[in-house]
Parts: sequence; structure tokens; C-alpha cells
Amino acid sequence: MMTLSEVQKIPKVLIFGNGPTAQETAGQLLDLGYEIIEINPAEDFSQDISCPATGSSPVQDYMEKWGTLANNPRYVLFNQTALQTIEGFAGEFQVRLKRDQKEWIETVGAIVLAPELISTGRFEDYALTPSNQIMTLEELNAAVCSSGEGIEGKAEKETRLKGLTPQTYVAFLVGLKAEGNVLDMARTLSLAQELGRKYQSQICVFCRNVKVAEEGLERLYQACRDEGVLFFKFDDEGPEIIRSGERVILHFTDMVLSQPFELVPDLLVLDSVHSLSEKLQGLAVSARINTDGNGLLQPANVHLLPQASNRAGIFLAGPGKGPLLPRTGLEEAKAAALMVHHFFQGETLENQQREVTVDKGLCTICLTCLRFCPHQAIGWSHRIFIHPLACQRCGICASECPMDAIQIAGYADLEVESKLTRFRQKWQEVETTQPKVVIFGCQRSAGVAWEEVQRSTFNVKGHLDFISLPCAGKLDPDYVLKVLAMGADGVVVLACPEENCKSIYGNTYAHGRFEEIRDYVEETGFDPRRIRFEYLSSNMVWKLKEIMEEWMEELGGMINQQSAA
Amino acid sequence: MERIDLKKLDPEFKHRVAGELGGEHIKKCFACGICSARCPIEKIEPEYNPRKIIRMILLGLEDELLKEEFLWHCSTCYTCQESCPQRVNFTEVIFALRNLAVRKGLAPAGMAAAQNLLSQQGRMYEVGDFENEKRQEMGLPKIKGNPEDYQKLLKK
Repeated sequence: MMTLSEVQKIPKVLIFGNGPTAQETAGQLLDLGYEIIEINPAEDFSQDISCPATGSSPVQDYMEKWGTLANNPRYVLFNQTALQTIEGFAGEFQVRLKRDQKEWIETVGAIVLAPELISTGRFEDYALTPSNQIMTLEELNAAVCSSGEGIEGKAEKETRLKGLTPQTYVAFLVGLKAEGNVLDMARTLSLAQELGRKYQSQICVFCRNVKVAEEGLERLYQACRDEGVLFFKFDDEGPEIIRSGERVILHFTDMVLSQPFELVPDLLVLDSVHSLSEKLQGLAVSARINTDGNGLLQPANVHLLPQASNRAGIFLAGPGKGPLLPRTGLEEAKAAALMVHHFFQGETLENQQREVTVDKGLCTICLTCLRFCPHQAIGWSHRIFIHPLACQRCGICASECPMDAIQIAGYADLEVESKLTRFRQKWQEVETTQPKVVIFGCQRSAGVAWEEVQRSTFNVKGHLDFISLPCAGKLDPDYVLKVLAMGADGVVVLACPEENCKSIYGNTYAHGRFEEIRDYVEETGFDPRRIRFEYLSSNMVWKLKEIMEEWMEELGGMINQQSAA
Repeated sequence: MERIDLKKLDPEFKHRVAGELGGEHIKKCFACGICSARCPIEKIEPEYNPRKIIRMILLGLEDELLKEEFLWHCSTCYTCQESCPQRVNFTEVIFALRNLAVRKGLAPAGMAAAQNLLSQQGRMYEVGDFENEKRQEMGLPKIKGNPEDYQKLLKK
């Protein structure tokens, strides 16, 4: 097995993106001394039109920056290039690229995925079609913001706005059909303010939550209210939209007054759908990283730092993870550059010092481990290869391996077994009326809660032992059966809450495996109520105590009944 | 409840209230509801709801609001004002609304009578022989009205 110190890190970074985030990342990393290969999937660069609230720069700024980058000998840019696959591991990735009909491979040490999103009007969700009365946020932005020079149709859009007077009403629909975001809200607030000032129309904003979690937005929200913008907030999907010929009519009930209202807006502005362009839909699959429910580049998992993907060495920056204000995208670019730098500097986690071994004699190269690894850390040629930097030591591969060929130092099968043997010896020396229970818990959640409980006073009627696992996904059915065979009265398995597993699906596997174990346990004649599975986070100390105090007592009752019977 | 056409309401009303003494911060409200939650009058008279009153101002329900008698039920305990996270100063908004109502001739009848007494007598209660007899029994000196002095003051 390769050791950490043997891992080669090629000081070249591949940046994938078609806009300011990728550009900023490139600039930062060049300053830090790395060689940069930039891949732009499109032929031109996506641009956000300047608007004070969203803080983006005009097109000229971008073009100037490209010029500076192009002059740097450590920088190369490939336009209209697609990313086909990312093979290899952190420190030495082989990225297959394609442009026109030509394919080639670049070898790099780290990768930053920084695509931009395309925004389109949310017509379909509102069951509306474009008309004179309706504009999208993007169209309105282009018509109103002064530095949108050269935008086609800007003049035409401005004419549509000329119909606005102090007697007219403008309605914004934002964040009603899907959870809102700061980008649409920032645009809505600044455009509402702008229209109110320019035309003195009455502006109404229909929304669910007012998303102001960015600098300056709370202030902007207050300013809008001070200047007379009306906000209608809803718990549900908001106004009913009725079409009557060319007109759109809004029917809604004000939530404060419980009073039904009707509004025929003179101008209706729709919020946007933000998604990866068609060319980029397959990016996550090509890169073998996990996505969220909307196909964006990072699942909603608390364990993933903003710039991290589930694959070591592949970093994320910008709106590819979800719509952001452009200036936030630039901040993320800087953060990603810093993370890349730390990666190259050799900062590793403590648990990555643990050795992972694959017994060549037992391994049959069935590739089960490779398929299950949530971090894409396993490769193979004539034998299985676990990359020491990509591997996060979760142990899912070890528990799935049909031959038990994989062992992680500190959590090896023999080590667990010797712990269980020590427990058995201990139990043989104590009286048996009180239940003996073993808890298997994920070190991140249950392990932390267990330490906390140890520090406080608690009242346990029995003998309780805790075996820490790197991830609940490391739980082997053998462990549970062995524990029961050695004389334990009960077994508890604790995993991190759903959608919050650091190994993405370790807790799900653990739960599935637990259901199998329950079947085995029943077959062997044990009462299935003696084993228990719970989702538990590190701060749910109360739950752990509840299990320890109340469940142990029930268990005691159960075994005493059974021995009495 | 009948459906109201938002366009028939007056969007300027909120600005007029903001222009009144006491109503300056009316538009700061974001409808958190603390005022209604803590109002002692709302507990016994649910129709008197500060949050809803503010919402009616913001939406422009001027006539519906100013004719309401409950505007005069506020006890001016100032609990709402002390609790408001946005410093809307709702008690003073009530004062502003009352002034607007009076200007439109919409004060309750009792208010007009009280106002008359106050402007003519300088007191809420007329002091007559009955009152002075009672005062004598308790060992207190008699009171003379002096309404002319008070009217001179008012004329200033």
C-alpha cells in the first residue's frame, strides 16, 4: 500500500468554468505559484449584468482580466472544451478532455469545478407564457441597470417600462414555487427600489421567505419598506394566477388580515430557475461527485465544507452549487484557491494517518469495495488499490467486503473481537440480574455524545460498553451476532441522522444492514427487541441518556421475565 | 369576506400616516406580531389587533380603519412600543390615527362631548354645587371654574 508520504502531488490545477468564478480562482492560484489549465465549456463567457445590489462588474472588467491571465506563462486556456472523465486520485488526476473531435488527457494535482448557472424565467411553474405584461427578473435587470450596454432588446424593454406611472402597480413573484434564494431576492429588492424611485409606481412583492442572508440585503429590505414597497408573505404557494385573455389577475389572501384581495398588475415580474446549462448537465457524473436534489454540484450535507466535494482533491466554487450573489462567488473562488493551496501543502486529517490494508490472499477483486466507496478512493489494476489521501477511513468498504479482506488500523475486525472478548470476561465476573449492553456508535456523533454522558451523572441499571466506529457504515453483521453470542443482553447501533453522514450514505447502509441483522437474530432464537437502531447526532445527549436509563430498565425487565419463564 | 381590489385602496395613506406626528416609523414594521401578542386590550377585545391595524395602514384601508371605534380603546400602556424590535412606536401611531380620525369627524360621540367640556371648562368634569358640598364635608376648599382663563389659553 502506498503511504501518505509517497503520494505524488503534481502542482498543476485544472479549473473548469465559464465565468468570473473560474477566472478569479485562476488568478488566485497563479498568484500562489501554481500552473493553471483553465477549461471553458462554452465559446464565450457568461456575464452578469452590472447591478448595484448584486455587485458584479461590467463585461470590460472580465475581458481585461482575461488579458492579464493570458500573459502569464503558467496559464493556458482551452475554450469550447468538454470534460469527459476524471480518473485517478487526489494529487494525480487524469482528466480526459474533448474539443471538436480531438480528445486528450491532462494530468493535474487538483481540480476546481467553478461553472456558472444560467437563469431563465420561471414561466412553466406559474403556468404563464411571455407577454407584454410579464417580464423576467433578468429582462427587467437589463432594462433598468445602466451598464447593460449592447444588450439586445434593451431599448425595447425600456419602452415597456415607459407605461409605468404613479398610478400603476408592479408585482414581483419570488420564491413562491420553490425555496427562494438570495440572488433572486437581491435582484427583486434592488429592482423594486429602482422602479419605485424612477416611476413612483406602487410595487408589491409576493414571496414566502425574504432571503436577506448577505451583506446589505437586510438594509435594502428596510429601505424598500420605507420607500413604500409592499411585501405580501405566504406560507403556501401564494397568489392564485388567473388568466383572462391578455390580462393576468392575482387572487390572494393577506396573511395578517386574513382578507382576500385581487390585483391586476400593470407589470408582472417573475423570478428565475437557475440551473447548469445543457452542456454541463453531465458534469457531476463525469467528475463522479454527488449532487443535490436539483442536480447542482453539492448535496445538502452539513459535513461538506462549502468548497469541498465528496472526492478529495476536487473542489467546488461559485454558483455551481446553487445560486449566489456574484460577489459571493468571487469570495468562494478565493476560498477554493486557499483550500487547494492547503491541500498541496500537505495538511491532512488526523485519521488519515491510520493505515488501511488489503489482504492480497483474501481479495478476489470483486470490486464491491470500489463500488461502495463514497469518496471514489479505490482503484484497481492487478489488485485493489486504496489511495491514502482520497480514503477518508469510513470503513464502508471493510464492512461490505465479502472476504473481510480490508482492515483499518484501530477498527480492525480482530481489534473489535478482542474488545468483545474482554467484555465477556468482565461479564462473567459480575452478577447477571442487570442487563449487559454494547453500543456500536459512529465516532462523530454517538462517540461525542458518549463522552459527554461520561462527564455527567447518569443512572444506569446495568453494564454498558461503547465501541466506536469510524462511521456507522463500518458495522459488520458479525459484530452484533458475536456480541450476543458472547453473552450480551442487548445491542444498540447509533448512526448519524439522515442526510448528515460524513460518508454520505454510511448511516443508510448501517440501517439497511441492521434490518438484515434483525432477521438473523430472530432466526437464531434471540428476542429481536434486544437490538435497537437509532439515528443520533452528537448533541443529542438526552437521547443517549434516555436509551441508557429507560431502555436498559425495559431490557432488564425483558430478560428477567425470560429467565423466570 | 368580500374580495377587495388592491388598486381601489390608497397607497398614499401610509405616507400620510408617516407624515403625522407619531407615525414616522410606521413603514418599518415587518409584521412580527409582538405588539399584538403583548397587548392587554387585544386579550379582551380580539378585534383590536395592533399588527392588523398597522397592516391596514400599509395596504391603504383608510376609511375602514379610521371609522373604527377600537382606535379609542388603546389604553396607552406603551407595552407594544417597548416591545417592538423595529421601533415602530405603535402607541404614537394610535395617536396619529386618532388625530386623522378627528380631522375627518370620525371620533366617537363621547369624545366630542369630552372635547367640548375640555375646551369650554378646562376640565373633564364640570365643578358645581354638588361637588363643592362634598368637598366641604371632607374638609377641602371650594373650587371655582374659571373657564374664561382656560379659553384665553386655548386661543393663544
